[in-house]
Formats: sequence, C-alpha cells, structure tokens
Amino acid sequence: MDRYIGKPLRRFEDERLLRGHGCYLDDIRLPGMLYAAVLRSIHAHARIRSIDVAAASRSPGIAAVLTAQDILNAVKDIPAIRREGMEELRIPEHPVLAREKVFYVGQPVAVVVAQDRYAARDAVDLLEVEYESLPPLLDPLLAAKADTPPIHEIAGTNVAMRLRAGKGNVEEAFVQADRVFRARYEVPRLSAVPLETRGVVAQYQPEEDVLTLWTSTQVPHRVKRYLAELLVRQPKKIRVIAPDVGGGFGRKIEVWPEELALSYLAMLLGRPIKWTEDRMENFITTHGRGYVGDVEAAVKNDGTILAMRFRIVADLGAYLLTSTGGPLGNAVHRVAGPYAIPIMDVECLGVLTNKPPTGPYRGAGGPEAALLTERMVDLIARELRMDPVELRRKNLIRKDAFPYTTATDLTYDSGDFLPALDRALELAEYGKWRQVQKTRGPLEPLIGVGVATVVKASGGTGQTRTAVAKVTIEPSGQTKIYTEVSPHGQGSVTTFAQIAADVLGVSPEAVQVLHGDTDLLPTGQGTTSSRGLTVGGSAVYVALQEARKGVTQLASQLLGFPPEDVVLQDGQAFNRRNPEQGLSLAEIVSGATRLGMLPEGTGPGLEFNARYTLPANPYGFAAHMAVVEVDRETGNAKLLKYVAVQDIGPVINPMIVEGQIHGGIVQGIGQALSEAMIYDPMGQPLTGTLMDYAVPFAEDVPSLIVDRRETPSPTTPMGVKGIGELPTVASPSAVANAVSDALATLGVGDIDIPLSPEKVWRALQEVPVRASRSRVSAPNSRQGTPARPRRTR
Amino acid sequence: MIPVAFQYHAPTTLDEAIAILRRYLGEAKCLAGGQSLIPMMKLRLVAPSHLVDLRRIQDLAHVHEHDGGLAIGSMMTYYQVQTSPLVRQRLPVLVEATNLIADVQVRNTGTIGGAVAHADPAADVPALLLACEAQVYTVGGAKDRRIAADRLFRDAFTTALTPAEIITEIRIPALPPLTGGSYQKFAHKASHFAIVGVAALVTLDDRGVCQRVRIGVTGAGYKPTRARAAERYLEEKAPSKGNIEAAAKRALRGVEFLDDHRGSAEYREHLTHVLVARALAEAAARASGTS
Repeated sequence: MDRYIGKPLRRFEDERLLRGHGCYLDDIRLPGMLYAAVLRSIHAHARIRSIDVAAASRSPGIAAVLTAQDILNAVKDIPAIRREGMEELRIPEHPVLAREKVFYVGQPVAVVVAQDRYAARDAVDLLEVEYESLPPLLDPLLAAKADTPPIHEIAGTNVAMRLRAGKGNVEEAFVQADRVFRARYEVPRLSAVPLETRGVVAQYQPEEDVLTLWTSTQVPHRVKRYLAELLVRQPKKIRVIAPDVGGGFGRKIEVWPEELALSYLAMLLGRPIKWTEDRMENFITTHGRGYVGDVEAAVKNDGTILAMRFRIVADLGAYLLTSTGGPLGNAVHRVAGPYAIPIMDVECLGVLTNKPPTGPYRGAGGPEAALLTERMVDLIARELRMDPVELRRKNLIRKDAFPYTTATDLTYDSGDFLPALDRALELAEYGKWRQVQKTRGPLEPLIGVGVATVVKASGGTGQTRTAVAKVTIEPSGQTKIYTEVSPHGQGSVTTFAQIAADVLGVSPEAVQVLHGDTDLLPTGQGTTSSRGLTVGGSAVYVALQEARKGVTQLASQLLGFPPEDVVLQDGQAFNRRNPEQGLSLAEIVSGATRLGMLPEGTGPGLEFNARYTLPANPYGFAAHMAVVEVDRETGNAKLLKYVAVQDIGPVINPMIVEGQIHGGIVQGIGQALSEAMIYDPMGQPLTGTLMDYAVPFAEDVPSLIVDRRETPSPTTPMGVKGIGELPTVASPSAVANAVSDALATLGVGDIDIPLSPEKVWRALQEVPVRASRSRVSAPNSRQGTPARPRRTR
Repeated sequence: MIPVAFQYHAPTTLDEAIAILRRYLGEAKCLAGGQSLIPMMKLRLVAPSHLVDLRRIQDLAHVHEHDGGLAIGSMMTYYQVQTSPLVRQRLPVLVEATNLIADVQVRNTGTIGGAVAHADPAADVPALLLACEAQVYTVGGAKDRRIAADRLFRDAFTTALTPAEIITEIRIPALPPLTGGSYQKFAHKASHFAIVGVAALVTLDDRGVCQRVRIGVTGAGYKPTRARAAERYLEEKAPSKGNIEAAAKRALRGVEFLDDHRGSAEYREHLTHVLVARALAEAAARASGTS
C-alpha cells in the first residue's frame, strides 16, 4: 500500500543541515590535528628545474614538506580507467605531485603540513620552484591535429581517445537529402561550483594499522579501492568516510592527488591531517564539458531527419583522471537524442591540452551531446521555415516504438514523448509568445522562444549498475537501511525511508538510513550516473522485500496463522482476519531469537541483504521551453518564463524531484548564459573566483513551472527512473535556442554559449540590414530569404 | 584564501587612528567595512601589516543637512545611507545607486567612505559623487582638507589621499530646483560590479531646457570620470531624444577604456553611450516631473 511513496515529505536531512548542525569535512576536528596546504603550478606548461624547500621547512610550525621525490616509491600515480577508444594509447598517469614537468596551472607540486592552516599557507609562499616555461597547448582543435607536438612525449600523440558510433550509409543519405545543414557548436569548460569545495582528513592508527580517510566525495568505496591500490595497502586496513557533502555534481567522483598525499603524510607523521580546498583551487583543478562539435544533418523538405553526422573534439586536459573519459563515451551515443534518426555517424576525439583534467559534470556527456543536437534541430527548423516544435514532433520517437534502439546503439526502455511536449507547450503558452514575438516593435526588446527535447539514462554502465543493500531490524524494532549510494543533496535518506515505510508498514521517521562509510557495506559505487534511486534504491527495495518476507514468515510462525493473512502496518504484524492477534517488530525479533528461529550466525536482530543489478538503463524524457527577452542595446538576455515537463517513472517524493529539477535547470541556465572557464593565451585561468565566473543569481531565474508525466520503466522493480541529471541535459539547449530564436528575428545566426551580453551585442552588430526589416521567424513564415549557416566546416 | 598575518587596531578616536597610521606609514591600511579589502587580502593581492578599524570612532557615522545639501559621515554603511530619511528626501538617486551595490550582507557592512578611499574603478558611489560635485573632507594629512571628488580619483585603486589621511565626511551640495537624477548600471553577471555605471543629474529651467547637466561614469575606464563634453553639449538644449543621443555619443571621448574578460574596451564604450543616454533621459524626465 502506498501510504508514503509519492508523498511530498519534507526531507529528514534538512532540519539538521539548515540549522547549521551538519558535519561537513571542514567541521571535523581531531586531537593533535595538523593542517596541509598545497603548492600548485603557476605555469600551464613548464619544466621544473629545482624545488627549494629549505626556507619553508624552517618556517615556524612546519611539520613536513612533501615533494614528488619523497613519494617516488611509496605512492603510485593515479591511473585512468581504460575505456573503449583508448586501446592503443600509452596514457600519462596523473602524478600525485609533479615530477619533471607541470602540465596545467593548478597542478599539485608540493604539500606543506603545519600546526595550523595559517602557518601552512604562509610556508607555501616560501617554497621556491625554478621553472623553465614551455609553450602551452590550449586549443583542442590544434591538439587534434596529427602534426602538433605531443605535450606528453610518452603518449606520442595528443589524441587520447578515439570513439565511433553509428550505423547506416551516411554518405548516401546526405546525397539523397533535400537539404543538408552544417554548423559548429562549442560547449565551454565549466566549473561544477559545489557549495562545499573538496577536502580531506586523514588519520592513521598505528596500533591497528588502520588508515581512515574522511573526504568530501560521492564515491567512498571507489576512493578506498584506489587508496589500497596506489598506497599498496590491504583494503581491510582502509576506511573511507564521506561526511555531509555539500554538492558534488560529478566532480567528486575521482580519486584526487590530495587524498593520496594526505594519506601518506598521516601515516608518515602519525598525526591526523586536514586539507580544505579553497574556492580558487576548486576553480582551477578540474572542470566539466569542454567540447567542440561539427554537426551535419541530412533532411527532407518536410523536416524528416534522415541522417546526422558528428565530429566532436573534447578537451580532456593534461591528464586522464579515473573518470575523465566517461562523458565522451556517453556523448558519442547520446547525440541521437529522443529522435528516430535511422542513420548516424559519430566520431569523438578526446585530446590532451595544458589545462586541468575534465570529467563528468551533472549530465556527463548528456548536456554536451544535447546541445549539439538540439541547436542543430533548431537550425534546421529555421532554415526550413518550420516551427521548431513541429519539426521535433515529426522526428520524436513514437510511444509504440519502445524499446527503441538508436542508430548509436542505445536502447531506450520506455517513454511517451509527445504528450509531455504538448503539456510543455500548453504551460508555456507557446502560441501566445509566438504572437508577442511577431508584434514586437523595432525599439522594443526582442522575444525568443526556445525548445529542447532530450532523454537521459539513469544507472550508468558496467559495475555502476550493480548495488548492494542491507536492511536490519534491531531487537528494539528499529529498522535500519544500509545503502552503498552516498547522497549529498539527493534526499536518499528520506526517499529510502519512504520506501521502507510502505514495504514494512512502519513510519518513515522510524527508519534510519546509513550511508557514506565503507565499513557499512563490503562494496559500493556511490552516487553517480543518476543511479541513487534506480540502482541503489532498487537494491534497497529488494532487501526490503526480503525483510517483508522474513518478518511475515516469522509472524506467521510465532502467532500460528498463515503468512498470506499477515498484514504489516503501524510497526505491527497482525492477522487480517483477527486484528487483535498481532506482534510489534520488536516482539517478532525477540520471539524469533528466543525460539532459535534466526539463521545460524545472525542476530541479535534480523538482517536481510540484497545485491541488485539493473538489467538496462531506464531513460527519462524532458521537454523544456524558455522565453527570453533580449535588450537590443546591451545584448542582455533575460529569462521571462521557464517550463519543464518531465516524462519519468513513478515518483517517490515529488518535492525532492521538483527540487532536483529546479537545481538542474538553474545550472543549465548558467551554462547557456554566463558560465565558462576562460584561459588567457598562456594558459592562465581568468575566471578563478566567483567575482569572475558567473553562476546564476536568484534574480536571473524566473519562477520555474514544472510538471511531469509518468511512464514506468520496465527495467526497475519499482518502475522508477532517475531524475538527477535529466533537467541539466535540457535547460542549456532550451535557453540557448531561445536566445538564438530572438536573434533570428533579425536574421542573426547561431552564436556559441555562454550567450553573454557582449557576445549577443556583437552578433547584433552584424545584423543584415534588409533582414532586420523583413525577416520574422514566425512559424511557417514565407518572408525573407534563407540565411546560410554562419559557420561551416 | 588565507591572508598574510597582520595586526589589528581598533582606535576610538581619530587622533589615535592617525597616530597608528603614521607609526606604520605605508604598512597600515584603514578598515572601513572591509567588503573589498578583506577579500583582496585573502587572495593575497594586498598584504598590509596593520589594519586600523575605524568602526569604533565616534561620529563618523552620521548624516545631516549642511547648507541645504548633505553631509554624510564616512563610516555610514550603505544600509544606513539607503534608509536615511534625509537622504531619501534630498538625494533619492543615491538610495537607488546604493541599492544596486552587491548584496544585503555587503550593504550592511560596507561604507561610503570605504568605497571612496578604495577607489575600485567599477564602484558605484564614485560615479554619483562626481555627478553631485561632492567634496571629500579628510584629516591626518599635512593639514585637514577638502578634496573635490573629481580631483580625488587618480587611477584604479589610487586616490589623492596620503597614507595617514582618513576621510571623515562627504558633503554633497544642495541640488537646484527642477533637478532630476538617475543611476544606470550594467552589472557584471558574477561580481555585480558595474561593467559601466552612469550617474546623471539634469536641472531644467522653466522652459524645460537643460540648464545644468552633470554626468559621472564608473567602470568604463581606470577611474570614475566626468563626461564633461556630453554635459556641455546638452546644456542650453532641450532634453529631446535626439539631443540626448548626440550628447551620449560625446561621453568619455578620448578616455582609455578598460579591456578585459569582463568587457572589451569596445563594449564598454558602447555601454557608456547607451547608459548615458538612458540616465539623461530618466534624469530629465524626473526633473520635469513626468516620471
């Protein structure tokens, strides 16, 4: 019975966090704790001639200064996970501390440990590194060229990954098409900007030879596996704990040099050590996105897309961290989007540059791929003088086509796209805004309406599709859930308790959800890939079903009526035919213990374990619409309206889902309008502070109109689909398309994100004089002459 | 984000503050709210060895009428300025401008004198002080003096103040009747500092002709600057759309515009013209009572 599933319960996590009673990494204080600070490269590319640690070592309160030389045989380099498309490459591994050369501004060179963080920071300034500056390689397109000297000699090339996907005769399709369109779009590097930066506390207990690492991570078990491998320690002698984590967005799923350096130092010094990343370090040490894509489409005059071709270059940065290759491996398939495009040809190159390593950032290849596809779809509509919504309607996958396998070899489990799109149109008052757009006078701000229709998988690939879970019922009757996902804003504590409440007939407040500690469960993949509910939650659900079965069985045996008559409700198991006959969970546990009914070796309570593998990823669909107003004089684009309709599975907690959607939309608005990591020609980051890097403010975001439709997934036991990343896939494209739509009313072609006021203003300077008077991008407009795509390969 | 070690002083009198500044001449800086100085220290862009906090000094946070104009104490926070009934009545445009400064937290702590002494080339208040032809009163220099706003700002983060000089008060002369004001700001999306900010005051005569025009521009160049050519052009003319456009085109001719990732020189020049026109139009409309 769904008493709690589907209810907008307030998050159990929030009261503690909002009152300031959370325990984030920097809140951890251990007796005798020392503090670390990191010296980072100031060059994008340089040879290290020498490092003089003498002055720093003499500085007051200094406990240790660590450079690469000190850990040569003690700590291994951080390996990249081998992926498809990386077979032939000798991949440079990320050294914990730089050896002969540095390859990006921000690369760790030395670590100082001191009595307090002030002394540590001061000593960093006393370290003297003599560099010989080398020319940096910054442009990914240049890096993709065969004759560009490799930044890492060992690799022999700057092309670290080469991936292909697609099927069908693409050449023939392009020959047979009525129209062919080409464009190049960029997706700049972005910072994930988690409210809490990274941080580590390492503690070593020599008496037990145990290393404990608290780290602000999404993946405690993964960090543990790598610590064991790279420090050459037995896994059982390592414990990793994720305390409260203030946002990750994919950039906390790596193992980091600082985690390894602090572990080593804690063992060396025998004292706990803390390092807390500052905001500037967070901005310069890792990014998401960083794509350039050449997109071509072969189209019939009626708007049917026959084939698409993509040539994508991803700027991976100077090294491949453990998940750097992941997004590209996703993007190569995800460019197919929600459309029935029979023929696809996709090639992705991942290239090395003198910038920090990239990796998954909320959407992980999805927003990148969607932006390329969705902007092209809008371009096709403009050029064919079709309404972009109608063009989508023509090409979206039909409800009866599921399971649908794309030409890029993704299989979509289920969906019903058109009603979701229709609902978005209705909520956005699409027709009305098209009318407003048409009637705008020459001195009034321009109006643009943008649409994006996207899909996003949840669950991941390989091992991330498997999760373990444990449910216990203590002698007190208390239900505990042990989960291997590591929530940091997803609300899993509340959601899982709601599921438990319905399955076991208890109150959700009475359920304790434990996570974020490698000592709780033997394995885990953490919270990544929108897997929290679909994989982690499914494992919990399976364990809860076992618990339900077990409790029912015991109640039936203890009370002597058939199991099918057992009802679990209000923390009791009772006889449906005789409700007077019942036992509390505590009575069941004690009864079973007393009568020796528990399996050998268990107890004192009941314990149920599950291991769950998601057979195939569920896919959610989103139709987003944005209305913008563009100031013709300043180029400023202001959002007037935003509508997001999701076609997802059943929802456990609609309030949490809505919160996820709000956050995802706003992150995407930032990507579309204002966010980008900018580097100067020497590879120096220019956007390393929140005074330079523009995340959206509340005033930049209109009231968000969110709705959903339900199409259960056949692949998960509860029919659920993940929601964490889906909105972030849609919103950058919806907003970019809206601004493009506004500019198109003056005949201005696509410009690249972020659509900052200055960029829009520059584009407006190029308005063709005739077009500015005659061309209106109204649906089915017959006026004007088609403009050529501004960028061609 | 950890500053270099410094010594903190909290004097209760101006004489005491001046004595500390003189004792550590060139190594000490005044702390007047700290909303710019402290972040710069945390980034280690500046590293004063001594900070002299002016908050405990009596009488630096006041506002009163003086010769029909305003006398504003240097340690008035933006919030105090915004909520002062006297300022609201006499110079509402100053309230509008301070409203656009950063966020509530900054406005609760940052001070008007701090903004002037810090001389960030993109700060809002200096543009308005230029347009108002404000006088800045100081102590602690060779002698107590007053400095006209347009002689105070020398370059980015550089003023005419000497190292031990402390701003005590800012005086804004009375505005003539039939005067309207406007502050137009185009803010950077991250910092919310002005890429360009324009303050304009327009005084009309009884025929509706511009008698007196004052324009201060911030953000555009290395220091806040009066747009004198634009002022002169519009004076003795009707504030028609055409005249305002023509005046705006003359704003900051010959000025070296800032050119960085927050805004190119070309864009800042363009924004200056756009915002001068908008500020003049609004100020003129307010002067004539049509807005």
